[in-house]
Amino acid sequence: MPWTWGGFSVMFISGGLLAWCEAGRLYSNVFFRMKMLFLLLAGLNVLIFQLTIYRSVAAWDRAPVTPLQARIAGGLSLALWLGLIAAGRAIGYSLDYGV
Amino acid sequence: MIGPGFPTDSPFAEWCWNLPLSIAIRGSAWAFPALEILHIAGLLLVFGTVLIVDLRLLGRILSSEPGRQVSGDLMHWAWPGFALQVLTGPLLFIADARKFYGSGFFRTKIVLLVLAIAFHFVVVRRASASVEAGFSPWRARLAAGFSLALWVAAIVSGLSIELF
Repeated sequence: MPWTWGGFSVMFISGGLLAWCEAGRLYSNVFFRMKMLFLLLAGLNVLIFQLTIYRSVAAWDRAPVTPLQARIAGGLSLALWLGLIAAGRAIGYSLDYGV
Repeated sequence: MIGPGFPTDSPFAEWCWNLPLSIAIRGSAWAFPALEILHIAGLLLVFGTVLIVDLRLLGRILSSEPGRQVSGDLMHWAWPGFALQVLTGPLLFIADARKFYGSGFFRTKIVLLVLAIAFHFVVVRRASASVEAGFSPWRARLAAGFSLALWVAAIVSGLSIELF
């Protein structure tokens, strides 16, 4: 997690500056809104995971099959991050084409 | 265009540009963006797994696991990502062959990519196989640092194709 926070800080600062420059065009962009929604959901997913099933991690840390709740959190996380990146890349194209 | 100016009117670039498939990709508003999103999804799997293998070699994460275990488990996930990139990359290239062929950043990216892949198989995999749990010798750290530098440089060159 220290690596995640380091990377997140860099993205948060540089992303904030990029969005600031283009705030007017980005705010109304559907892909930008999707990206922010995915980011929020990914954050909520981690929060719920940490507050619930992760509290008992010691009990299943070495289990060959992890609890369903942990697997749902993992699958959701992958799907949300993939969606976030797809939406993020689509912002550039939609601004180019004026969608 | 920043960087060396390569000729864009080569017969090879023109041949790629005029292929029916590249004309079809250019004719669709969604084909190129969709291919690029898949290309980046593949990059996620490749660089994500390489990053974890390299951080293990650097002794910064998962140091209680043998390097062989980390490398072996993760390569299963790197391959589908790499396959996705190898499938989508040439399609992206032919669709905009005039630009890519003439781009210094594109050429730099390909050279760095070949070096990074070769370095991974010749050095990083062997280093991972020799790294036991709780141990990370300086040669493994050096290999991991060099590998990360190559991958990051390849990705930065790739991004620069679009940006400049």
